[in-house]
Amino acid sequence: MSGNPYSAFGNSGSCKKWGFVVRVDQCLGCMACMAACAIENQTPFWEQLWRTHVEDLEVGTFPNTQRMFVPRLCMQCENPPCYYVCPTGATQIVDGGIVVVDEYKCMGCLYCVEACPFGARYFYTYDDIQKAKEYYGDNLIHVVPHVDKCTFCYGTAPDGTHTPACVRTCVGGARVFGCLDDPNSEVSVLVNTGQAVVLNPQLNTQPKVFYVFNKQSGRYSRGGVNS
Amino acid sequence: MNLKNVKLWIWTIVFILIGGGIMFYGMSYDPLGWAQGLVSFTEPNNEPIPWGLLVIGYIFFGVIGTGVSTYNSLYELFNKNHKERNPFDKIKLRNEWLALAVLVPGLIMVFASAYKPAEALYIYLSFRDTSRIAWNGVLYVLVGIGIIAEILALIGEKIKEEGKIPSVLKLIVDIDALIVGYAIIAELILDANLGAVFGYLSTWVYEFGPFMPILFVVASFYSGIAMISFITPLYSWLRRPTSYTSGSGGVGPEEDKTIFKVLARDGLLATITIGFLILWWVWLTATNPETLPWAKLLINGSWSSTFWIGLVLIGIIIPIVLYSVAYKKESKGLLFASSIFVLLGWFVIVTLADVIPQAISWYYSVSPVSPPGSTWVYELRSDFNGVAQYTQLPFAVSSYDLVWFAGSTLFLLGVYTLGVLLLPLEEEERPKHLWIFK
Repeated sequence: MSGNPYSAFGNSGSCKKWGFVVRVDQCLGCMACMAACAIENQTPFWEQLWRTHVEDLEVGTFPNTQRMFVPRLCMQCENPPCYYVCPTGATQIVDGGIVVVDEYKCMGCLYCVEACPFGARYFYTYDDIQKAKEYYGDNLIHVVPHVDKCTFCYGTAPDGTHTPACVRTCVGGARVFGCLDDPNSEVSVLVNTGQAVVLNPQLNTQPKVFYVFNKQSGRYSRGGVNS
Repeated sequence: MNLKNVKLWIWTIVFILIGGGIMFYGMSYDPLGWAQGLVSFTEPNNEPIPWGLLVIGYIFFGVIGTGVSTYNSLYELFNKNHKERNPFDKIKLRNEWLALAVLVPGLIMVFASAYKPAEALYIYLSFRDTSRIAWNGVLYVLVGIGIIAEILALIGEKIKEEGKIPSVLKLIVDIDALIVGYAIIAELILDANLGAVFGYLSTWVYEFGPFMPILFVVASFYSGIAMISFITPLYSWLRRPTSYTSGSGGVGPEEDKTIFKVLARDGLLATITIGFLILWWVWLTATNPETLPWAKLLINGSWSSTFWIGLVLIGIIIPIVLYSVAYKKESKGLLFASSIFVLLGWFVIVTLADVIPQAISWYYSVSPVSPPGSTWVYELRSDFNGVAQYTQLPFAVSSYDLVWFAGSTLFLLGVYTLGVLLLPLEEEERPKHLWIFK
């Protein structure tokens, strides 16, 4: 795959496995990604609910502490517990291995919210829809109550770029998006060289979101310590 | 119609009207809107329905309902060719109706605990075989069919004894052993699957694996026997026929004693088994360094009083003592008392095993405290979405929960008494309303 790695996003068959890498040490904590995502996907920020969120953490023990920002989003697992528990078929896996929710099929049982080991899902309520009209006008993405989550901006990213809003807006270059099938893509290189690792590998959910941590953040790698 | 039945009709109407009315209130007087999640009454409007009374309630009633039927059906099946050996032969139809009636509030609470109940139809329209919850939806239908078929078979049996039987019922009566066997299997699978639903969600660490299905199957006997032990003495006191000085409905006093003794014996065995499973549950957890923090919460942590008093004392020790004395003295009063403790204990087990762990925030607040040398990688779930993850699904008993729990439980009473009035549940009663089958 050549050229813009995102250009074919959403087109059937163009990429079997979209991936995402977060370079933690390049995240400035500006939270612009959260704002961009909220506008792009009309998330209920007034309830402090986000498709992507930046953790503001203090790592280590005083005086050897470090402030650290860890961007979080749906891991788009290849083996997604949320998909398996969904009783109505509302949670689906679409082109490129992206996990989405059909809001009309979702009955709001919230088992997927419970099943997700990464806490990436939240519920978009009837009140949120009413409130969304105040912020986003009548052209709403979310029409009925349902469980919502990050979809790598599937179906909402502007034509021609198809890049997730958080990636487009990231000032530190902490967020990298691309096709994992393409060995030359930046995400593939980071993953294949072992620089990028997944969270909670022992759960075997096979996330397609990877993290590159610096030395200070050893607690997040497998078998790491807490300081 | 005698005076007793007039009173019962009044109570039935009151239960159904009040129970139904409360649920109608729970729908904000707008059933269609409620079914779509567009309700202005309490939680469904501005936040997800919490993990609270409704989830506890539906597991509580669902497992009791299947347990009553499984227990009753096993005695029916294994005494098929020598009915005189079945202690429940004269009350088996009543027990089966009890099972169906108890399932009603369970099913109501399942729907009420979903934000958009109407969309539950997609369970059947776009069935996902990997979803244990979807299988639950199917299994509840299969169990419902089994229990209704069994009730019809038992009614048909009564009609057959009198001679002329409608052809539909004759067919059912001819295959009644098959129906009873089917009902037992469907119920056991349902209970095991229900256990797996919760065991495989983000619950207590030690619940992953086969533990929960086993616990739920045993609990169906534990709670089902308790429900029969609760209703049978109650029935005996409230609907004592004039021809007997005492007795359970149409059952004579001597037969009563046998029933009570068998119930006390089986209840005792089921309670001991539950006690063993709980010991196993806590032992495995406490002896594993990875899961010790979880066990400590039950043994001497924030949930210790609920565990020791609610589960161990009320749910296990007291019932074991009471069941034993009830067995020895053939006392229906003590059997009745044991059943109340067991039902309370079952409520606590459901709460501790299923709901608290899924709604509790300690799981994540303690998670960074990894034991030395551990390879368990704790995850940063606690702060995602800006707030603690589980504030989205808090353990809380909301007014929505209370309304639906109260409404559906009252409705259960109405459904049960309606069966008492319309069906020949008592031994001496002749089959009624046969026009339905013609």
